[in-house]
Order: sequence, then structure tokens, then C-alpha cells
Amino acid sequence: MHHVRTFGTAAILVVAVATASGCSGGGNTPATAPDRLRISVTTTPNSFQVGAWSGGDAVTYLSMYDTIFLRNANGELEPSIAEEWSYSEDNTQLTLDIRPDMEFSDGSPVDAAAVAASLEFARSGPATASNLDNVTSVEADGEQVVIDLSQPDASLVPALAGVVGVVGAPDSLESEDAVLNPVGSGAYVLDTAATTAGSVYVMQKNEDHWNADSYPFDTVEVRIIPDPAAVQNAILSGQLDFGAITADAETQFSPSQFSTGTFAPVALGALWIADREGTVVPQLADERVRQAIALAFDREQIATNLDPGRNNATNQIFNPDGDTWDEGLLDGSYDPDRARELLEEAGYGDGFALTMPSSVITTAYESVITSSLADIAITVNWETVPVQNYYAQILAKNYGMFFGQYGFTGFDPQDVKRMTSGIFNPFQLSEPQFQQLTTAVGAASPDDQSDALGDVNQFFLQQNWIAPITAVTGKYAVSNDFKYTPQTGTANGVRPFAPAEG
Amino acid sequence: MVVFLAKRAGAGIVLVFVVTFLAFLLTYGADIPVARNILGPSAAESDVALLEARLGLDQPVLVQYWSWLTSAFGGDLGRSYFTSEPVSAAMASRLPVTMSVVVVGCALMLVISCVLGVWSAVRGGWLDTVLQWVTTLTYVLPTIVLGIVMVFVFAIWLRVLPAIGYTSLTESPGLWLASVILPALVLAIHGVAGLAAQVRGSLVDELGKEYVRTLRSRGLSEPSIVLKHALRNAASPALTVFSIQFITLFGSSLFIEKIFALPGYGTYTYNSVVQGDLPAMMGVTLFSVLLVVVINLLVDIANGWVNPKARVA
Repeated sequence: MHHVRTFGTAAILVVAVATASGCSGGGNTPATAPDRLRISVTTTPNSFQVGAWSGGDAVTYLSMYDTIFLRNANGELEPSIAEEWSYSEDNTQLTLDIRPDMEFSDGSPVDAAAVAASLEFARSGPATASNLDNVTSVEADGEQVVIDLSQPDASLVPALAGVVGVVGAPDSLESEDAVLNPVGSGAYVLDTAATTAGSVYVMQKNEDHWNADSYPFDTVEVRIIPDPAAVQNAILSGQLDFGAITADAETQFSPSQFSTGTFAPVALGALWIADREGTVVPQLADERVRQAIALAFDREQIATNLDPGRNNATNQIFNPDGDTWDEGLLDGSYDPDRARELLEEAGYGDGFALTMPSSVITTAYESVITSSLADIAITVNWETVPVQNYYAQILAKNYGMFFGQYGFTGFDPQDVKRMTSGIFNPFQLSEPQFQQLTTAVGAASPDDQSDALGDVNQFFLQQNWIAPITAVTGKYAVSNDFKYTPQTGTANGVRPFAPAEG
Repeated sequence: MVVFLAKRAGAGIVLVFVVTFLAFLLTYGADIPVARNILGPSAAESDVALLEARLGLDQPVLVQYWSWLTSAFGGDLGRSYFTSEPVSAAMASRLPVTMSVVVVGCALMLVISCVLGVWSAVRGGWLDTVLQWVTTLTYVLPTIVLGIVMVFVFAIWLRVLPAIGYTSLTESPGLWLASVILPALVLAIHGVAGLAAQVRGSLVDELGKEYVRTLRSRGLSEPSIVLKHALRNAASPALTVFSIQFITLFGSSLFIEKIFALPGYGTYTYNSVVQGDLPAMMGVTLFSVLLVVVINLLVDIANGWVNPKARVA
């Protein structure tokens, strides 16, 4: 009875507060105004400075800066600051024609000199330098920018359509203010008065933007909410228009008010068989052992049973939405009998044991990895590692094999480069054949690039440096007042959002 | 008195140095690869080294500490590695969020506990039994469950209050109250159990004492006896419980901030520790140790003023 009374008191109190505050829907705008978009992302943008963005929310970053190129929903390149571009015959010089009459938010011109200055600055930016390591010089020449390369680099142009290719006002590049208040030429400008760094970022439309008509919202509010339950509550209560949800929460979103859907694949979940010289786990030096490991996973079953709606079967390193991934190659990717034969041939018919790092990154996949490998007599011992030390422990070469997730960029050449660097190659191993293949990708004409990437795909399927298990995706919910188009690759500013039709 | 205060202040300053240095050492010793964690798994080692140099993480620990200390003396606590936000500004914006929820929660807890405790003590019988059941129930009911229920009822179902976020008091008092009332209620209801039981127990004791019989024999009304005399005397132990609950509520704020997506101090502290965000962590440490030093100094001053013998100690 007292419990009821306590809640009764609480109810009276909250209703009184709601009445006093004059709020309906918790102080929100009661119905979503079509000119204001409110979305959530899970991580805080760590810096808005050119060359410093390295994760977190790219929606704000890519809304306040224009990039040299754009990518559409299918991941295809489109003009942006560069209206046109061309490579020299040997693919070692890239020439950009800069769009005229563009301005930064401080009124200064976006010209070839500004583009060159940003690229030069990005060459020493901690988040961008390695993406531009084949660049030997960047020069402004009239209304063109000329980029010289030490060797062909197929990942350069795609990179310039993302955070590597943002262009900031030259005077702001080294300014400390730019880390929180960027001076770009993007479609939106940060509303510093309404923004609380680390919590909510509010952007107002830049009416002078060269492509302003493509951006229907006057105001965009981006909230940082790591907890999916809080995101779901905010969408259901009308405080947010869009956010990522968990698959099991999908039924809470009534079709009369919300649309739900699946993001394009965002990451590759795979075993990185890193110790290919057998320094820590001698067995992994044998190509047959690596092949056996790759054959041990029933990927279709895993996709069906493990967190349904979040996993897609894949045995290839490439994005299933990209041009290189080939569904036909999935056939025969699960063959435990053949795996056991291969281990027998390699002299490990009785199996062997190895230790892998365990953290929140691996938890959901540990049981399926353990049981799949146990089925071919490989015993996995999981060693708990604090999540903040996970990368460091792998880089310290403590583990011959580990489970990881790699976030797709949306461009296959870029993915090849990135998923074989950093923690994804802790033993710093490579092979002449791999170098030749990636060089061929870089040197290939656009028409031939697909074949060159196909060769890379075959190489990984044969060598099994990586044993892909799943292409990870996720669910989203969006208010019926808005339309969201899932994008291939990383965030694309607010361009995937539009008011609902009709 | 001046010498006494100088000694106390001197001890406080030494404490600040010792605690901040130890915190710095412990963080450094944890060996968290901050630059790698910021740049992500694919980043090249050369990029990681570049960022380490930019953040000064390639310097010896004593150099890093000295750099932080001299900046801190100048009022600059640095910027968060992970959000680039100045630490002092971040703390200044997050403390009011947590304090709003905790203070409103405490006020609600006090009012509800007194009403229930007095009612139970005065009426007794089945009401008293029910209160004890409620006490047990609310003790075992996790804050997170209570929070989820509240959000569902008031934010999603009735849509009368926000599910997430915070509006500052200066921006709009009404919206401020709307943004803190649900989290504050969750904290309050959770804390009501212990405090109401304490009020009830103390009041029952007081009501059994002789002075209460005397007051009754003199014809004072029951409400007057209970509220003006017995409750005042029963307040002391209840206040002790209340002060403990205040600390508990402050500690619980992390969970509440998570459920309601509040940009509070608890979340800031937690994230800084988990991520190895050294400037943020040192800012939190410095603030905490200064708070303790200042409060102790104020208590010493009060004691010294009231009791001259204490000045000699």
C-alpha cells in the first residue's frame, strides 16, 4: 500500500512538474518540425581539427567540413570541392579542379591554395598522415591542385571523400579553437551557444553552401548517447528522430510512428591469424592449419543463431555491399571434415591449444569460436584483457591469433590497406605476392581495378591471413516524419536523412 | 590562530601534491595506450607515435607531471584527450547536472521519508508492517529497474517528461525541473526505504519517552507533540542516515546518468578512468582532493574558533 502511495506521490509530483514546466513529451517539440533533425550517435567526436578526427561521430565532422570528393549512398564518388579530377598516365599525379566561388564559414575563399594547405596540414595530422604517405607534394596551380605520389595509390581518392579529405580555412588549421569550433565550408555551422561538447552538438544550416538545396534541415541536433536503451527510450518518447537500436527492441517501434531497418554492413568480424611465422603459436606458420581454421566455421548457422539480424555470413575480407565481395565464394566455406584432414596432413591430427585475448570486443563470439575450433580439435584458452589494453596486448605480440572487428570504409582498396595495418598486423609481416597485388590495384585503371581486387580476394582466401566469420551490421529506428537511406561505408554527414515524402 | 591555520593550509597543500602525484603515477603505470585507443586499431604505428608526441606522452613521467602541475597552477587543466574539451569547462558543465539530480533527489527523499516514517510511527499496526515490507522491497529493487519503469511510464507512455537529457536551471527553470525530476525520483525512492525506517524507529522511541506523556497530560494536540517535539528530537539519528544516503546518492548518480543519458560528473569521471584520459582524470582528482582539503580546513577553523584547545593540536 505504501509502495502504491509512494508511486502515487511520485506520479502527482511528476505530473505537477510536467504541467509547471509546460512540457509535453518532456520539454521537446511536440511533433518533429520538418526543418529540425535530431539524431544520436554513440561516441564523442574527439577533435574537429583537420587531420585529427580519428573516430567517434563523423556526422558532425563531415557536416561542418566539405570534403574534396563526396560519396553517394552506394559508395560511389561524386564531385564536391573538386569538380573534376584526373590521374596522369602512370597514376602518380592527381590533378584536382577546384570548384569556384566557395567560401568558408569565416568568409575566406575555398580555393586551390586553401585545399593545398589543408592537404599539406593533413600530411602531418596524426589521424591522416599514413593515408597520405604516398603523397610527395601538394601544389596549388591556379584553380587546380596537383598531388604527386611516390607510387600509384588506389586508396587515395576514396580517402579524400572522407575525413582525410576535409578542407578547413587556412588560418584556422593550427588554431586551438578549431578542435571544438571548426572553420569549414560544409553545409552546416556549429551552433556553439546550443552545443555542449561531449553531450550534444547543434548545427545550423550554412545557407551560402554551394549545395545548400541538398540539405533540407535548418537545424541538426546530434546527441552522444552510448547506451542503446537510452537511445531507444529517447526515440520512443519523441525526443530523437533517429538512432541505432538493438534487434530485440525492434518490436517496440510501432510501424504507425516509426520505421526500422538494417544498416549496411559496418564491420568485418574475423579471426586475424597474425602469427604467420609461428613465433608464438608455431602451428599457425603452416598454411594448412590456417586453412583448417577458416573451414571450421558454419557461417550461415552463426548468422542465423548468433544475435539474429546483426551478423551476415561472410568468408571474405571485403564489404558484402562492395564490388569485390562474391557470394558464390561462400560455397564450401564450411567443411570441418576437410579441416580435420588438413590438420592431419600438417601433423596436428591430435589438435593443439592456443590462447586468445578476451574482452568486451570478443565476448559475444567466444562460445561459437571455441566450439567451432574444438570441433576440429583446436582448443582455445581465453585470457581476459581489459578493453583499454586490448590493442596494446595484441601489438605486444602476445597472441598468435585474435578476434577483432574492422570497420569498413566503403572502399575496397582502402579496406585492404587498413585491415593489414596497425593491430591487424602486429607481427609486421607481409609477402612479395601481396605487395605485388596491392601495387597492381593501385596502378590499375578504374576498369581493371575490379579484377585486381578480385585477385586480392583470392589471395586472402588461399593464404587465410584472416578468417572472416561475420559482416556485422545493426538495426536503426527512424521517426516516420523522416526517411533514412542506409549508407555503404562510414558516416556521410547528414545526407542520408531527408524529410518523409508526402 | 594564524599559525594554526597556516599549519593546516600547509598540510592541505602537501596533500594536494602527494595525491595528484600518486594519481599521475598510477595512471602512467596502468600503461594504457591512449594514442592507439584514440586513433583506432588500423592506425599506423607512425601515426600513433605522432599523436603521442603531440600529446606529450613520449615524455618521462616526471616531465609530464611537472607540465601538468605548472599548467594547473596557471588555471589550465588541459584538454580531454578524447573530446578535446577543456577539463575545467567540462567539469564546470557536468557538476551542476549531477548536483541538480542529487540535491533534488535528497529533498524528495527527505520529504517522502518523513511523511511515511511519521505516519507509520503514529498509526502503527498494518501500516507499519506494510512500510517494513516496502523498506525491504525498495532496498532490493535495483536503481536501474526503477529507472526503466519510470522512463516507460512518464516519458514513453504518458509522454509528460523527457526520457533523456538535461536543461540547465538558467536556461529554463521549468525544463530544468522536468529534466531532473525523474532521475531524482528514482534516486529518492531508492533511498526512502532506509531513511523512512530510521525516522519511524527514532520517532517510536521518542513517543515512548516520559516527556511525551507529560506533554499529552498538559493537553497538547497530538500533531503538535509529534511534529514540534518528538520529531525534532528524533531528527538527529535520521540526519546521520540522511548524510550517508547523500553520499550513496552521489555514488549512484553514475547509473542514473547512464539510464537518462545525462551529461553528469559521474559519467565524466567513469569515462576518464576507463579511457585513460589523463587530463580529465587529473582534473577530477584535483577537484576531489581540493574539496576534501577545503572542507577539512573549514571544519578546523570552526573547531578552532569554538574550542581554543583545538588550535594547539
